[in-house]
Amino acid sequence: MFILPKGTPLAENVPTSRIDLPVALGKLRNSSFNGYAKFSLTSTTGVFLYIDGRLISALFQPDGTGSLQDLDAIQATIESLVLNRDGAFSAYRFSREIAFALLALFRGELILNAQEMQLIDFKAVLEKIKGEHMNACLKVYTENRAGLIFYRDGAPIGFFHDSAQEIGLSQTEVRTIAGLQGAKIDVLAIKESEETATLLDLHDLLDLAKSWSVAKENVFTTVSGSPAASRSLPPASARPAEPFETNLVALQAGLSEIAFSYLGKLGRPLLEKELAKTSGPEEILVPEKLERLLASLEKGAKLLTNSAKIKQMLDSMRAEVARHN
Amino acid sequence: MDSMLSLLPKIYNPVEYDTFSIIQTVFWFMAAAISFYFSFKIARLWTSISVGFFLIFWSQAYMLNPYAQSYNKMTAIHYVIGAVAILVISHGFQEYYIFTRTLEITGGKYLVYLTTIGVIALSTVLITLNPKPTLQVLRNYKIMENSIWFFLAILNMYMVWKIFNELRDSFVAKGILCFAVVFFFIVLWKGSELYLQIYQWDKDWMDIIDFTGEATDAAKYATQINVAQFINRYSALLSGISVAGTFSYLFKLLR
Repeated sequence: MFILPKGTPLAENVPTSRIDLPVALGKLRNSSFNGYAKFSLTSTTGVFLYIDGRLISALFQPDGTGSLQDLDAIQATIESLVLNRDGAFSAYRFSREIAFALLALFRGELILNAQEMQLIDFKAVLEKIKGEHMNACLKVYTENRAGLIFYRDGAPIGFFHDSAQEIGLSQTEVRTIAGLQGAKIDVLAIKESEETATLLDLHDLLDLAKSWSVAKENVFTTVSGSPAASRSLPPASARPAEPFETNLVALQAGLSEIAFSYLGKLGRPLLEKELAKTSGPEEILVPEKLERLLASLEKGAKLLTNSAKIKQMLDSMRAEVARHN
Repeated sequence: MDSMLSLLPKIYNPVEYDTFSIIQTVFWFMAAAISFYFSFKIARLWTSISVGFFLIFWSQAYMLNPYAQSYNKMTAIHYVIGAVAILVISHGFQEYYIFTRTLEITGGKYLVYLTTIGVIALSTVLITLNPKPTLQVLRNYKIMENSIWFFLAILNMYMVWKIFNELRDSFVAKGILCFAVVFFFIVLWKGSELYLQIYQWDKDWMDIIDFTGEATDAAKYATQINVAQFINRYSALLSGISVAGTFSYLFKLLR
């Protein structure tokens, strides 16, 4: 059973038909994002793991078959996104420690693989992780339940299970899963320490924008946020109950488009620079913070266009934020 | 009137009001006025550019003064002001380029004003403390000013091109590119004068050797001299027209 923890949501279940992949991933890159972006498609899942804004690893998990990793996973995800309009995009932020521990889940060395809990000494496994100061992810699972324990330098830093909303500090439920009939255990570890690990950015190895446009040209004619896409979202009862859902990634993409159309090529990086100064993308939704952001943007915009167009741009941005609020 | 005239300094050289010079001064005034407007409304880097163009207008206008050649120390100061003008303009364009790469605008406008005033004040003090410049010394100051202008104008053409490449699809890009034309004419203007000065075919040198009785080979190279003088005259006018045109265009774009 494939399980990923949930962190602070940046976006949840955004229809993939509304996502411009290079723009969305560019946002994560520019905001020094720690966490993962998940593309839940009809029969597959693509997950991109970020540490400090760098795309460190990717996983493509088709249902029932073997998974792909890194560049193959990115390529497969792009192709599936282009072919499949009915997907959902989510992005969750974690602390850097958890994100690094998640790396073990993506490409850690398999210390234990599908070992039955009844056949191993679980305490000894925990001692081994502790004794060797592993950066690891321990996964306990049955056919119906799954739980994760994240380790940093041999010490547990977080616990997650399939019915949790976020990573917590209580190991109770994970231990319960470990005690279930037929429970199995995987232990994946990263040998390098967090400080010394070589975290190669997969963005540098693959021209994402080009891959995306090539994939779209070959398969798609036009893609837009159509009503059909929203109807295919999972029914509300199946979605986790959230008091407030913000389509932050789509909002940022919209603002970026507005900045580009009024200011040209420099509009996007100018907006991203101002957004990076905020403490989080959700700040755009606060009126005072938004006005401050727009005032900073205006200063740079004065060197690129005239005051009438700047005013139109700022009004358009306010309208875009109001639409998403 | 005669009693008043005796108090005024002697005019050593005949005052010639060249129509071209007057037209040039008017155009430089237009450029200075519009760039001042930008410096109030927009960012600090326009302050550098506007201060520079204002100083150019000031030094151009000063040369229309019939007593310009009589106060040697003032003349020297105005050659230095001319050099400071192109330095400040170059600083503005370099900041513009840095902005296109980093998208950062830092520093205050008053720093530009104060630094410019400070540099001019320091130069004034230095010139005042030194002996009254002779005609040869004034010519040396002019050669210094022309050299600085010539090389910085070439550099600024390159800067403008780089800025244009970064701003290519923005609203203001074509306006910025027009500055390349301005600097091209300035290169011709100052370059032709520098050429004459280096080979001692310029008017100032001819005036000096009128006093000293030194010989010159100007007659042998009349063609080169005439071509250089032609380029100097018309490129000076065209630089004034182009700078006024550029600022007018930018005013229309950025209003």
